[in-house]
Amino acid sequence: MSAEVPALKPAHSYAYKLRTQRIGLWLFILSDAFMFGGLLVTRFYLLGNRRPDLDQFVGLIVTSVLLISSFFMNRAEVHISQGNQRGFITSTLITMLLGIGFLAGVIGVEWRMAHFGPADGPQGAVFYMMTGMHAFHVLTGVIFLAIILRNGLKGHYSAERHWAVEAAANYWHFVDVVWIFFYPALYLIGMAI
Amino acid sequence: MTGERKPRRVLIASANPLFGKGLMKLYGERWQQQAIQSRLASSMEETLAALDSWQPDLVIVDYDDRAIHREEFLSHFITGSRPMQVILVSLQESGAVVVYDRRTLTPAQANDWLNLPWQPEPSSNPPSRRTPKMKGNTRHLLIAGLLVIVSTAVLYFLLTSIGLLPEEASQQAATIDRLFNAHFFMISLLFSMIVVFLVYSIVVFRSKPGEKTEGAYIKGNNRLEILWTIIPLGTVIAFSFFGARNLAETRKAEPQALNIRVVAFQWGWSFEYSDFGVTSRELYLPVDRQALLSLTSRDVIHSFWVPEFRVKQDALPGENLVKQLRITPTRIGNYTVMCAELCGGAHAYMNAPVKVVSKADFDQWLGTQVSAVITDPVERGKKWAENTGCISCHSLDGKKLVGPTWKGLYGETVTLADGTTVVADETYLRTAILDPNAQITQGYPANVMPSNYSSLLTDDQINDLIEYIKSIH
Amino acid sequence: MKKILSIGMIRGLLAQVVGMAIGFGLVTLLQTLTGQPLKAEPAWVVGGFISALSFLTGLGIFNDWFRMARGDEVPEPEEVEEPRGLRRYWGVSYDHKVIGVQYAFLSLFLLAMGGSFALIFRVELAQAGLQFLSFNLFNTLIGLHGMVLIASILMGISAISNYVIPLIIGARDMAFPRLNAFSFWVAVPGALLLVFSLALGGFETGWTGYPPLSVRGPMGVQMFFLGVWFVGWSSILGALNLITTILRMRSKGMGYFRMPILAWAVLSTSIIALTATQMIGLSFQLVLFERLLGMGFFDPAQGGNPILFQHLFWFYSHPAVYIFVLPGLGVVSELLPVFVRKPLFGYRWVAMSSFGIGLVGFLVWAHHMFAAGMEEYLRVPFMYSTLLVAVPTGVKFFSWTATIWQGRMRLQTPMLFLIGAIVIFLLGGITGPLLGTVSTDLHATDTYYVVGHFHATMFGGYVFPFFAALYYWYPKITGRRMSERLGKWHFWLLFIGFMVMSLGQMRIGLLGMRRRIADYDPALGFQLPNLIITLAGFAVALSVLLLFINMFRSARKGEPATGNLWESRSPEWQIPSPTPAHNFSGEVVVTGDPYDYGLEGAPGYVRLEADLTHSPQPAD
Repeated sequence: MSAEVPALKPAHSYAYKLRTQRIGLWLFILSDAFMFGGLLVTRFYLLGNRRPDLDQFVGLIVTSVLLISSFFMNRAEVHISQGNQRGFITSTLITMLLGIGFLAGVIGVEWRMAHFGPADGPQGAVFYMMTGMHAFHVLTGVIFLAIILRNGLKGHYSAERHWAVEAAANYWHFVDVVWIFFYPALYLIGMAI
Repeated sequence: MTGERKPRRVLIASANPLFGKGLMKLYGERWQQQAIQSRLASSMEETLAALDSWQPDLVIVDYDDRAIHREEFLSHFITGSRPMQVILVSLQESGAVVVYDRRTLTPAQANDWLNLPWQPEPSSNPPSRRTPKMKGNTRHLLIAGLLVIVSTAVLYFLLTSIGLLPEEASQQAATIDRLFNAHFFMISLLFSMIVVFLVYSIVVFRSKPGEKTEGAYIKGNNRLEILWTIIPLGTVIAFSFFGARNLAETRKAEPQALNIRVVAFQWGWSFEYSDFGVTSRELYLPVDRQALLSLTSRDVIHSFWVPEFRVKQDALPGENLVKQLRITPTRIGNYTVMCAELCGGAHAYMNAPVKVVSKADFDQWLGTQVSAVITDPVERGKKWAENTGCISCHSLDGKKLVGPTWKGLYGETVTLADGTTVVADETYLRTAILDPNAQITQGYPANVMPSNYSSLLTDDQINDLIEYIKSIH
Repeated sequence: MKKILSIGMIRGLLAQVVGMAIGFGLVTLLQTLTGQPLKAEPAWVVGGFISALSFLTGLGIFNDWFRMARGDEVPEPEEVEEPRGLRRYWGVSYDHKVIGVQYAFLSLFLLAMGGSFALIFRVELAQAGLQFLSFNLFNTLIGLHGMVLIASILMGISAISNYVIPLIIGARDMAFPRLNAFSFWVAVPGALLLVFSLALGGFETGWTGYPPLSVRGPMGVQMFFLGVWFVGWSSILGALNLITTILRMRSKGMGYFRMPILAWAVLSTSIIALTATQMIGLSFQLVLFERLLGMGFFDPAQGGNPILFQHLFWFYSHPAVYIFVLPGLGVVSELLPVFVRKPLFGYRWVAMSSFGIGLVGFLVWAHHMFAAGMEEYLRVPFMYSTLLVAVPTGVKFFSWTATIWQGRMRLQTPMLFLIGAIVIFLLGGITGPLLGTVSTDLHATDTYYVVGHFHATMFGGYVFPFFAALYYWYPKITGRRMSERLGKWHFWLLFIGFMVMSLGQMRIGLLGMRRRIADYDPALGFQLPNLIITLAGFAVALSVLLLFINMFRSARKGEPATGNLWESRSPEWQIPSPTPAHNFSGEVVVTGDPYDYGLEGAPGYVRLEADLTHSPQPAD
């Protein structure tokens, strides 16, 4: 039997594959969400209506940085879907830089400034684990962005075909949404201890 | 292609094209287009030709005796012998519909068919949908049902008589064992229900090797499904309800429970009778009195369990995580508390003796324990006075309370209610404790001080109390 | 040398050793450079993590993805023509059939290993007194027995799902073939890490890993945590693939209520595996970091709470048991109609019952914690939810009984195992409620009663159906059938051995034998029962040996079976055996219901369009 595989009408078309890959990505995000949900449960179980004593100003800054990065991520996706390569590159680059800025803010500044360490009671354990896991996901997001940036510069994406960009964008937004839950949980809800 | 069957062939003989096409469509939708092939015949010639060459499985004959003739059709029909179904309808006559279901059977099958209960005239009720196979079904069901009942009884008897549980040595055990018995019944019933039907089927509904007959074509029964959803639902809710009541009963608190702090550690137990300052490596419990155990651990999670008492509770580290367990022993004897949560290392050997004794024996044991701890009888007497509550009525500083003060009492001359005087020596004091109404001091009420201290205190404790009273100058 | 290195598995193993050394070395170097005291544990943890990634890199599973990241062209998995022969089973293959067989081999290997651990400690337990095992080794072996077998079960259900699902829905492969290969291979270094815990001092906690004990005990527990983490990824990604495949790749005409019941079972299983697995990963991760960095999640002295661990852990580990049994129960539903020649009774209800079990299964976890010391108000609600699971499970049992009733039963080996599955899963199921009502649970929890109960559910819900599936689909995979004689011996030895074992365990549990104890007081009268249980365990092991012999011999000398030997309506039996390279040569179209056995003149379930490469096809 020849190696030739008959083209089975819609089964292997790009549109079909795209829908399949989308489902895959959302399922992955759903799974990851459970892990972050577990961290939230941990925070409320151990700390209840108390929260770690953190610098609100820095917290506000890093949150804004991340939210704005999501805006530019969306811009990047819109640009590429309209075939605007330059706009896509620029927006992706900005998103990346803002993401790195977020990491610098949390790991570089927030972690140094905190007057407690990971071994200092439940607030230390909760704070470092939550921000650490989230930061890890931001880091992987940044790496993903670096990949699509590089491939974008080589002209790999078109208005019709840019699944990697869509995937990176959705992943990035997911990580942002996680922070939308983590930020109040760590900085806003309850009394500082 | 192996496994694929012929599609069902339906011939519709009707002069009325609307009727024919409509029926084709309806039938097709019901069986989904692919299952059937239909043909329309609008004249007698077409119909008979199709009968012979196309060999339909079902023929729907709409006879009007002008284009399609009933008699002619039937006389042709009876010449054949293929399995076929025929349904004769007439749009002109609104009489009953006549159906023929022709089948060929083997002699054995024909025998079965002959033995089927004879059906009376079809009444205005719709014809019975129960095929012969299903009538025999009732018999099978009855036999299986009977076997289920027998099996349940046998299993339940077995489960409750082979002694699956240790002896009951606490009130909680008696309560819990009632629930166990209910569970044993359910286990017997459910096991029987499924396994009886299963084994019955293996015996009765088995295929011989190489036999190609198929089973009965039954796809489901919604009413049955609802029934066997609702009944189990009700049963589990009832069980939960009674389970909750059962749990609450085991947790009933007695006001005068004996407080014992149980400290678990890798790999042993320590029991602190905090009210008495006694620590022991053995758990002594007075029979018929509730013990309130406060469980804690020095290191990892352990668990307190005496099988004869049934209830179990994990002991956790942390001052804020002390857990309580109430046990009322009902049977004097020696038991063992075993750690029931893997705690590493010598978990298997983390046991301690549990001794359930009479109240008298318990008091005596406690007394010796305290004596071992507190060697000064005056100190001990002070402890008994505090624990038993003497000092709520007898002051130590001369103040007049409900009863006479103990300050300077020993050696004093006391005037009794009847006017006589007596010196408060040791004999006096002993009588005052054990039989207070025998010598009420003047100015104090009778029948107030309890006269049952003879059963609440041991002789040693009374001696200690006397020494204590003597010491208050 | 080059020939050896061309085998993926070998490359992976070598890379794993190298990766372990690199990780260990890096951490040691860092500790030296920063002037910190040299602690072995962080070095082993980092080493272990890197070693697993190294395995995968050396194996080459990342190659295509690296190429995609670099923007290079990568062939579609279905365009990759793989060499035939046994070699492909030792390296990366994108063919779901190969991956299914790989999963099956890993599963059987882990079964033998984990089972052997049990035989070892059962010999120790056969007599009172500590004969030859230390406490540490005993505790490690029971823990490994548990987790290695859990891994074996996960691999086994992946084996069935991966081989069978694409075939029964009429697809040519899974939705994500590369991810599929990854899901298999990631479990291999994970399993190795698990066993490596023996070398680092073992672990004292059993498979449940409760702190504070897991925080204080020997560092083998870190390998245990890492191993579970990687095996967990196999489960999650495999589930993702299966869900997508079932949602997207069913044949034309195969609506949800016309797809094989096994697809329903695998779908609900996969939803659980996709989501809940994260929680065991998280709970173990928190202990891992409590050990490494002193993060006080579960230490009361630091304001932590050990009960939090139990909540997080059991939130996965209870639904996990439904992951273990739902596919097997789906196999029972799928195969019964074939062997009793009768439709599956109440197909829709059975389909929904898998989802019902899955859903309720998420709501019961704290029944493992009735004695744990959690808040009192939680106990009764969890009792209600726990007993509720009996309702959808009951629907399955009643449906099976109604399917078999009035059928024409063909008692071939797969059917024997289906019957065994039903009886033993029934035993497991009906002995559950006693643990579900709180007051009786307070007596029975942490005793051998629990051990008897869950082994019954596992054997009934997984082991017996898995063996049924093996005997049933072996001809599909190899073109030969296994020996019926050996099959029957296997069945009876296993069934009787297991019943003796399980009933014995339940009995002594209620009478006072705790679980996870290396020794027991002979005065309690448990010595004879323990001896009998040990012997029964050996009978079980012997039966599995018979299976291995049967599988091995039949591969070369089994009776050829290249057609539809079971007379099944299912799509995979309408094509020749062994299954051709791309499964179906043309499109699969649904023409009838899957289980219309016994219907005179019923159309087939599916129709295969003619081979499109060879003849022009008239338009539909």
